[in-house]
Amino acid sequence: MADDLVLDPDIRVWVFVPIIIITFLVGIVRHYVSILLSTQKKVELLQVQDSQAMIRARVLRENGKYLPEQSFLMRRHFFNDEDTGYFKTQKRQAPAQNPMSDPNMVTEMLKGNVTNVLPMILIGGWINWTFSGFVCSKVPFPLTLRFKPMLQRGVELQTLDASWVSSASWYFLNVFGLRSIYTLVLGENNAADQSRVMQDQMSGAAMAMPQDPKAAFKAEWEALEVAKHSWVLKNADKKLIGAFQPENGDAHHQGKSQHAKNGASSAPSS
Amino acid sequence: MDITKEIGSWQEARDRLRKWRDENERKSEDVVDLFISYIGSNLSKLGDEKWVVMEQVAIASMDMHNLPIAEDLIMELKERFPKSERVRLLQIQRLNLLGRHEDAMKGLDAMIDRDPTNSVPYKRKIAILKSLGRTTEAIKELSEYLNRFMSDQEAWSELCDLYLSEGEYNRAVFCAEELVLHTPHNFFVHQRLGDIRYTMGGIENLKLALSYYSQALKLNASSMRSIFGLFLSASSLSTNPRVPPADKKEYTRVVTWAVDQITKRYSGTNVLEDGKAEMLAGVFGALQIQG
Repeated sequence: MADDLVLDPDIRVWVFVPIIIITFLVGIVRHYVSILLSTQKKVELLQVQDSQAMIRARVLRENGKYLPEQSFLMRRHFFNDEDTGYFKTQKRQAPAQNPMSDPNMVTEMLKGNVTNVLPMILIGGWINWTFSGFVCSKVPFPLTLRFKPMLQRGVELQTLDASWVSSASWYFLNVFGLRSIYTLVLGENNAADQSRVMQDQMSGAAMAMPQDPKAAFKAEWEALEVAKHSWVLKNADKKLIGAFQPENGDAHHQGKSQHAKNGASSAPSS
Repeated sequence: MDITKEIGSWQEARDRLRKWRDENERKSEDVVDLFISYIGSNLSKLGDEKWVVMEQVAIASMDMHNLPIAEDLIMELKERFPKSERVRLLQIQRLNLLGRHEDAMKGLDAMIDRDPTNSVPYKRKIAILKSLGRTTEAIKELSEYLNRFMSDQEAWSELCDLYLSEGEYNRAVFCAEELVLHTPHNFFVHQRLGDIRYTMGGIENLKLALSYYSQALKLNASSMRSIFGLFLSASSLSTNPRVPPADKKEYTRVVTWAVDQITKRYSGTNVLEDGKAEMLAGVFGALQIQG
């Protein structure tokens, strides 16, 4: 029964192909508009400094065991000392609670909306209005009835086989399917890719909050405060030449290693 | 080997340049040769890659002191990207080549003012100071830089070298330890720390040197320098009168182990032909006296 359906070649010329072209061109335009509108995000020197200090404190915690105790304590003092420590003296302001109060943030959001959401609505609406109600293509395999709302948007016919594609659905297929063509034409990481925008919106990552350095400092300070030092290179030479026997060590050695063991088990964060 | 004979077409030359760019290989001479014989006349065929290639060739030609090429390329890049900081860096590099270091410094200062988070101009400044022999100033700048960019390993390594050249071993140790913190699985940083500790001397430092050489050997068993370092630090510990006799025995065992290892490694090669084994023994004797 579906075989009876013959499509007018004019549908191909005036609906099927124009939708591809329009979607593609809109994608290209979107790419260039977003390049025009985008501003290089300025990173503050202070932010860089903070993040690097955090990294350094973390590696000290993790790999401090390779340093002699004195060197470890010296570095911990640099970060944690009550009067002169980095984490104690560097006062950072907590980020603004309400992102709306930051004018930069608002412009960023507006730009995002202008380049992403607005064209989507406008073009989508226009396509729906101009090309609505056409059956314009057929997928070359049979599909179950469940696919009808997906592939036959705008053509609500009970008897139509599910493998026929309506013009509105063809538009959506194009929007999401042209990704690799854009990559080919515009290169990697182009801004024309609608589906990526959709993913961003799904995950709610559209507005990443700036992290709070104050809280991060406090956490790192605590972690470093409880970190115990155990010098792993003790007996490294004996282990190397294969002459190391732990139970053979004298009382002094045993006391030390016992201490180190306690330290390792009681330090929660290393 | 002459690179222009190895490569037959401009496409191949382009691929080769791309490979070197990706792998961060400088190969200045070859890059300039390829540019002269293949790329120069085909620049327009490269598409968007053209500009990166131009930057690469500009740097290479400055390395080769080929100013005409470099100046042409920089001029063209400047016209295309009038505000680019990367082009600015190339211009500053040209100033350095011409020996106008003060102008270069001014340009770098301006770049830092524009974007204080870009680490390249800071490093260039320090490099200029170092090449001019103004080591103390370079050390000062580098320390200030490291106050901000604390986890820059390259910078720590450089500061370590600078301190070593000034003989400030304690501070060099600090920098070397910082490197150990960042890459504890690289044998080289341990070996370097061992070298510095051994150079500083004294029982405590020698013990530390011994530990670090051992760790370096554990990470890379083929490091000859570390074995010799292990041998030297252990042997000077074992002959030091202030080391308690019980420990001395331990150190003597390390010495024997190290000597064994060294002779074993050399016995497989033809370095040690007949009669030369005694020479090696003699070398050990000589080293021991020095240690």
